[in-house]
Amino acid sequence: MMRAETNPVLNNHVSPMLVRAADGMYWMGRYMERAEQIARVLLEHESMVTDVGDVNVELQRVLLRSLPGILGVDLLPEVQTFLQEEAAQSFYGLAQYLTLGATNPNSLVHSLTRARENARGMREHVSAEMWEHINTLYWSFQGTEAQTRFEDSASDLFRATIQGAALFHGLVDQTMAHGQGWIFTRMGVLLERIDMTCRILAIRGRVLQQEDANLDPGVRNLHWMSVLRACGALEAYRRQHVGDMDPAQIVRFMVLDPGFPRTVAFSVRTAYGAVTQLRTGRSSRQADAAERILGRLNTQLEYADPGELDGADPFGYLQDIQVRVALAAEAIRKAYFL
Amino acid sequence: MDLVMFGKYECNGIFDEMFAETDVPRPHYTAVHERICSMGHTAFARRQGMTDASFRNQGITFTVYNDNTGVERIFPFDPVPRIIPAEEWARIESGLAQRLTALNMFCRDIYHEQHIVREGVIPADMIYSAKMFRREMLGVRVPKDIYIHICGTDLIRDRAGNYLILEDNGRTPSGVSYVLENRAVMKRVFPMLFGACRVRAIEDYPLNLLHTLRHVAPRQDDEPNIVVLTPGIFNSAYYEHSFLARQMGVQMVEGRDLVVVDNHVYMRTVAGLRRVDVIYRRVDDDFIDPLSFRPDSALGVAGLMNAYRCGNVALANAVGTGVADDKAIYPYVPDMIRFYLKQEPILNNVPTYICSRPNDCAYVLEHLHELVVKATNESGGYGMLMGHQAISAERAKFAELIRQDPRNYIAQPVVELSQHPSYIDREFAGRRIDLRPYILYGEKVMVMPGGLTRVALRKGSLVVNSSQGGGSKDTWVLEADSELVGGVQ
Repeated sequence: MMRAETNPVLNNHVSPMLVRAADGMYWMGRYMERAEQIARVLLEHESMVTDVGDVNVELQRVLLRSLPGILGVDLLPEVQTFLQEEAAQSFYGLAQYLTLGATNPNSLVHSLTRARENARGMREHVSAEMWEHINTLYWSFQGTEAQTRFEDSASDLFRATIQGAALFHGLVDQTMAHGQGWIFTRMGVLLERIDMTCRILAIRGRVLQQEDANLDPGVRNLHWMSVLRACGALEAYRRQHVGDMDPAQIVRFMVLDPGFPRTVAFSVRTAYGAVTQLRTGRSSRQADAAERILGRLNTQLEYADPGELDGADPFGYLQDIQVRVALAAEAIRKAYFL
Repeated sequence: MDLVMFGKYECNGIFDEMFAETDVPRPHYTAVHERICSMGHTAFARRQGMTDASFRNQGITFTVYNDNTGVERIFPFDPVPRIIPAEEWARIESGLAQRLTALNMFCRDIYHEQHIVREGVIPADMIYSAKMFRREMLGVRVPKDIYIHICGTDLIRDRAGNYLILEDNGRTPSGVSYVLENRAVMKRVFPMLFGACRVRAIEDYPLNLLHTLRHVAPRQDDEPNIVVLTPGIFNSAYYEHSFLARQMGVQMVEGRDLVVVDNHVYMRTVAGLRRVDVIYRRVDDDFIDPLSFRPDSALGVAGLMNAYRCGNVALANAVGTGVADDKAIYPYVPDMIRFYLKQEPILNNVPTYICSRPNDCAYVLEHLHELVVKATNESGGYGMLMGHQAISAERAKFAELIRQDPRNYIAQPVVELSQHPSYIDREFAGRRIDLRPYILYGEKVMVMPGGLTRVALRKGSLVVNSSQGGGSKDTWVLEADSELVGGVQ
């Protein structure tokens, strides 16, 4: 009750958002981003298999096995059961499961379905254009249609998802007031993006680091290009760094670059900016837990020593970021969704 | 012009809305008929396909329950518009306003002095035996003495084309969102048909609804906080609840979003609790407050009835309006109009036999094969016997039910609903229709021009309910001076 009096964003509205609606907007954003990231990771993996699938067979096997972990589903019992099956041992078998698998609660199609369910649950906060887009995207992956599309061309399906997500972001920015609903949607998108980006870098990076000695320089380049593409950042990276792929440089770029929207630093800064708009007190001393966590993380990344990530275990650094982002998500849940 | 468009059309010997006789459209349909004919089947069918895709992409759906799993369906839409001429509508409009005024006076009376019972117009046991009569409401003053703020009254036309009132829905009538969406889709896909005549706009309905709700807000000084209360995403009319909330620019809440503190209702927002003044509730009386009604209800708000009785929150519609749309009270509505308004009813009821009257009951049992029997507290086409179509075992079952509990049944002669051309499998064919106009009772009575025309899409069927294979079509009420504008072009 007190929050309303002191905060302009919350108070500006005729009526502040329902707790349930804020929660729904947040998860709509998270699931849409998750669907997009699954599509990016699988699209890239398919292309990598085509390029270098026949060299370093053992490495390919390890990379394939790392996919569920990158997508954050490796610990789910249903998924673990599937991973024992024959189908899970080939890229297309696994990719199909990660895209459509009925028992996979975090498949691409399930993520889209949940984004749509959340949007449907708060139609009065979602613009008509956003809703129609999410709904149309959802229907284009329903029933046997998704299966057929996957079999026809998995990469077309992934591209359609990525484009669908891009349109979603455009509609969020251009057809909604940048008030509470927009902030919560953005928070969902950004926290999910940071989480997934950290996982891609940490898991793929660690595998490639361990295999580094066995990699032919050309193949090594292809693999690291693939990591950047999975993060949607190859072109942006190339503009700044020409020449052979440099793993340390890549991790540094993806974590610390302040100017590219898919890096960790950029996303943390934006998420921090969004959460400060919800602040109730005037000074940062009165910030709530989510703002404190993101504020400190933002400062750490903004003023990071470029060598900070070059230590023995850059991947531990990424895991630390993931933990703090998870704490921020939990703090938001406690502050606004309960 | 493609005269083959209606080549196989038959009037089937009942009242046909479009055709006075085969191939001769009524004057107010002439222009639209001409334009449809000039389109040809290919263009018409393609545009019909566009309407279906449009409904699905916009998520204009209702949920059908089958084996406990809800399936989202689009409400079938028939693109041939139903047209009502201005003077015909004027009579309907005044008849509906008259009726809702009397129904509201009835509710006010029944929960207070009960003059109508004391003066012997309606027997007391009819009132007290109505399942939807709420003792909890006796002596409770509701804001502005309005009980039924939103009413959906079903009209049908007999063989001669007379409009008859089939029933009043004074609890939580649904369907108005389809009226508005049907119009929006028609304008998008068949703009050329609108050019044929001047159709009255309906798009101001949500604003009128908002004014109706504001009118009863307990705090008039401030901007009242109005919400739409929905049972949730699994309710078959969920789409409509969110639609109306969006159109009015108010929030949609579920029971769990509301909390009662010190007999005031609040909603839980990201900025803490916010007072709620008016609840447009789409949750039935039974489920609205587990402390007062069904204790197993998870859809309601504990303590809401106390806040309501204290006058701290307004509910639309009021609790207890079900007594006015009980099917055994319905036959008394013409008497209510005479009693409260000292007027003759403008619109007539369908003749009705009340089974709790011994003479009526005997007649009903003897004539089951030519009557429609309805359970007094059911709706949506459930609990019904179509005597002329039923097999004898079914009739025997109903005879037994009526004998056991006569109060629970009424019977009416079969009314042959009027028919209207529908576009089915690339042919125009006659299908039965009814009409549900929506009436708002606020500072004044407002009748939306037109309403929901439901279509029994199954051939020969008389049941138009969406749960029983019904669809809908756009309904056009013409401007007073426009009937023949398109016709002479």
